[in-house]
Amino acid sequence: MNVAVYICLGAMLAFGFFSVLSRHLINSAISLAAVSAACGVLMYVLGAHTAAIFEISVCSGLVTVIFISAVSLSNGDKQASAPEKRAHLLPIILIAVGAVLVIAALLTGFSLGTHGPVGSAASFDNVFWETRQADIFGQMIAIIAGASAIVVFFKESEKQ
Amino acid sequence: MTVSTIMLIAGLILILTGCFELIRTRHMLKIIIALELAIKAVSMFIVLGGWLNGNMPVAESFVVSVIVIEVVVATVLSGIAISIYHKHGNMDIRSLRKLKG
Repeated sequence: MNVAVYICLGAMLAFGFFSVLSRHLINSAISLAAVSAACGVLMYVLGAHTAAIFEISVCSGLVTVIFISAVSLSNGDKQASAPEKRAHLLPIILIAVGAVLVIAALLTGFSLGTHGPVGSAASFDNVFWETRQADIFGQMIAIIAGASAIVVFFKESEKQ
Repeated sequence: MTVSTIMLIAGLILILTGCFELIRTRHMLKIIIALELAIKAVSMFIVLGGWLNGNMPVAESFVVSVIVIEVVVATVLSGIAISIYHKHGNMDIRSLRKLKG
């Protein structure tokens, strides 16, 4: 299991850096999808099967489609290709921060612990549909608000 | 170092990457990508918490909520970016200052 976790973490970091540093928005969007896929595999390995399926199908699929649609509806890719001179030391700073965190964890012997005992026998269905019903109503309202916002934005752009 | 400590460090680096990109860029779609990247690390932290506590169903339900909110945020921000593009011809976040009302 550890090897799979390390591979997924490495893929998440590598594709995450690439999505940030890439000047082309399409490449950034596809790298973000790869980060989502690696995160989904990591969730599956850790035992969060339903969340992994949501992560891979929604974040890796739907969000990527939204980004690529937004790029194709504008010439956003050409604008993002312009060189940005702000914070060009970003990769060095990130590597330094990572090195400092690893060294601090090694020196202080910091450890989060290992996999604990199973706390509850409830399944995901019980928790999601019975214990956390308020979350479902919140999600429904958020989805309706998002859909309404998209309708309003596209109506305004058509008028202009 | 245990696996969970390494996951914590990797997640912190991912959040920092997203924050640095938020500081660095002014392009709205790049800003959304940076936000999504940071949210991925937060989802990973929630699953890690459930794995450590042995209470994965609760963590899973929270992650599903986070994913739904994440998609709605990405969709609405993309819509705002497209309407800014139609109005100003670019996706610069500073164009939001020119809005009235």
